[in-house]
Amino acid sequence: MDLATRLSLLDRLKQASADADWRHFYAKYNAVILSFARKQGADDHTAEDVLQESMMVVIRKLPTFDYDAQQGRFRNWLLTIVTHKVREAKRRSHVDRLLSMDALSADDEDSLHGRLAAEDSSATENLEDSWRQSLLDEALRRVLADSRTKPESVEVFRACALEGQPVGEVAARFGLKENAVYQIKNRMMTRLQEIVAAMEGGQAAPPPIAGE
Amino acid sequence: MNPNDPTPPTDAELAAASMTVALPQRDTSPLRDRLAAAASLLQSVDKPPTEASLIFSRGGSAPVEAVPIGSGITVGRGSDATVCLEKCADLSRRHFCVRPQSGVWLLEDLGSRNGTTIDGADERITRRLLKDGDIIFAGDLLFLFVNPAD
Repeated sequence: MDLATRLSLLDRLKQASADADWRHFYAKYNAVILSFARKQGADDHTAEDVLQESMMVVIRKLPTFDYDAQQGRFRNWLLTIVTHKVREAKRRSHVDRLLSMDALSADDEDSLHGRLAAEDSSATENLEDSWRQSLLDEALRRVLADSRTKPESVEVFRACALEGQPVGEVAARFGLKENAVYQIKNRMMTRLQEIVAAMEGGQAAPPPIAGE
Repeated sequence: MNPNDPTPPTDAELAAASMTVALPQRDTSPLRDRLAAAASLLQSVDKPPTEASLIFSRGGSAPVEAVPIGSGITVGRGSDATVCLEKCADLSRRHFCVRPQSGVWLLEDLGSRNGTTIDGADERITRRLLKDGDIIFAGDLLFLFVNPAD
């Protein structure tokens, strides 16, 4: 089957789910899931596998998921899915390597289980931290890419909040009063918290931003 | 960062984020397109599968079918194939098979003339471990692999 035929087959099918809820979910969380998977030791290819498998669960479950039941429930639901998919992807990757050597013996399987269990115990220690950091990565990316934010505000925030430069120096560099630098920093921090809180709660996204 | 108890990011977290946020975003749009196709097929099947299955249509106005893989299935136009698609001339008699292997699902091309590809890539595969949502192209048909039990 040539490429054009394959694309045509896919194209016909994808039209049918053009307005589905999962697309909104994908737009909001795909970068968070990729980032989380990488923090759990997945390479780029494996991280994309994790995203695909997580999204398949979402496609199946989202229509019946009750967002309003409990705010914390959404975060736990998603974190559980993604964590499980990271584990599965790692397992598949190990089996793939063993199969490429052509024989998978019982000893190999035992060794595989042992290795995966060891990896799991170290990886799961910081799941919550990794997830929080992944959400923050994505929130920061959105804030910095937001076309409504003045470029100067982005630069001021970068300098004082991300690069840790003293407020006095930042104020002098940009010809601002120190109080103005604090205000910019606080506004951006509030925005970050709003975005992260919205993603954690599975709520409607804050006002749309460029590129989303 | 629970919305009920919002904790501001620490300086260390912000610094860590600032180191990763400059990385180029991976282009996942081909994946999004495949997910759209998968969602469409899942919506079209009468009863969503509850175990590892292949979802496909025989073409034209034929309904979408879901066939459980169980201990393994072969797909081809020959009458001895588990999934017999005799009208699909571009399929070999025994084109590909899917079977469980060491707790994962293995796709093997059975020496087909026109080859088997995955997810729109050009590369013909001989053997590949499958994951939920993979799309297999063979003949002029596509097959969605789903594994809802996983």
